[in-house]
Amino acid sequence: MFNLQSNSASSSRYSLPASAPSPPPNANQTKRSSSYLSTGFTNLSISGIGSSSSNNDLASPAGRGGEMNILDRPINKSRGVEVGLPAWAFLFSEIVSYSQTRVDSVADLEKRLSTLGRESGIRIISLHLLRAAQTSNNKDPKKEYRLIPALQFIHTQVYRYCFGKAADGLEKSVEGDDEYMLTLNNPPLTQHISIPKDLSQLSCEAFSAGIVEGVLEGLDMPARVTAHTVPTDQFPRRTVVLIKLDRSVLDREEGLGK
Amino acid sequence: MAYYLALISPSDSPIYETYLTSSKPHNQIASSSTSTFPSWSSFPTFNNNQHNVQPSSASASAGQPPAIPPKDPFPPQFLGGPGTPSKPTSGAIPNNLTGQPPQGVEKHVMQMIAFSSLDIVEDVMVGTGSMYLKMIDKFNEWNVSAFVAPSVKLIILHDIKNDEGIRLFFMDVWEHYVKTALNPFHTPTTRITSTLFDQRVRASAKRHL
Repeated sequence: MFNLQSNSASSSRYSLPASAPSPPPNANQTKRSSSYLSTGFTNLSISGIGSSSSNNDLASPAGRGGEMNILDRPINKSRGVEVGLPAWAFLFSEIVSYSQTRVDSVADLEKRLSTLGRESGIRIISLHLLRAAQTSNNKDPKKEYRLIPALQFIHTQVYRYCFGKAADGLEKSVEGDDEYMLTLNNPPLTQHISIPKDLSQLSCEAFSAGIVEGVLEGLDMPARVTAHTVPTDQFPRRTVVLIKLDRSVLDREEGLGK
Repeated sequence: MAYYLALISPSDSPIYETYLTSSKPHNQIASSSTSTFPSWSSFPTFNNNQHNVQPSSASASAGQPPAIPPKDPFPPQFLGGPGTPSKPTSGAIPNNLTGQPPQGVEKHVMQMIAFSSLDIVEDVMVGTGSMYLKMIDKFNEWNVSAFVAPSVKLIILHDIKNDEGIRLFFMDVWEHYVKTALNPFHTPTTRITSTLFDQRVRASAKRHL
């Protein structure tokens, strides 16, 4: 829908908003079939990326009733706060093209996307744990503190929360004991992006990698997380998120024993 | 009855601090002493053993009617704590929920106690998945409880045992914090200066503490 073109992005930037308010006729259908853009995602896009005041319309329905302060907003409102797939695709295409105007290399662009994702991830983990604690009646709220359960938590819960389904694989790297890989066969966030030839190294899933990094940081497991496209015949857009954990995490894990 | 709350960023800097006093008569101690600082010469037999006894007896008395004075050889007023009563003429309890430290309590001492317990918080949190760490540290009659959430630590100093109330209070403050942190302009190390946040914390304190 929104192709990432290195040269056309800036010229089309001003024409896109005009077409944005009229969603495709099957917008509802799209929304239903793309369930990953559900409750949690609203918060991601509003809090992580949105630029507050100008985003009041996006922040509806909370923003609809005039100026409501953020402390009064319910965090568990689940109806009517979904962001449609077209809106996300538009926002993300703008994020990518904005980032692209201020970088020299593919690596820098990925770093910028990853930084944005990290900001989201830090917030996602807080919000997720808070909601989980509140639904379990605030009784002894817990978070994962061991490495493997934490990775499994990201593999299933965080991925389901952000992308609508659990990751397709969680593997330990054969190269180093500090490396783990999360695989997603068909990453939904970037499904409308086609990478031009001259940027073939780029993976916009760097944003997802940033989310994973932020979540791990929230769980006190600092790591460097990168995304790599590893196509297979069946899944040409298969993406591997590579987690390289900080030494301190492994030392702590060793200290805790089995 | 008196509380000190600090929100601590991942870089161990305080992003929000406040002093709270509760009007609930958990543990009223009648005394005319106005000493605000531990005078070590005033209790020469003070030793570790008695030091350890003291907080438990204080907590045991927490649930009792306020009329019964705690059977405590070293009542908190010796130790410069919140039990130190204000002068009888100025009312038993200082202004409720004003954000000012109760009379007789050194503000910086409470801050120091809270931050010195950070090491213990970090020791305890690596071995448990629980976010609420209750009564992990003691300094004189101050108990330290903590709540370890992603990218923030909540530390509270309290002089009476009130696990349940503090847990609910922590959950409330955490919710306020998360809502604040969802603001894209907030970073984990930004100081929270919002008066609204302050009001909400005080309202939660009134409800739970």
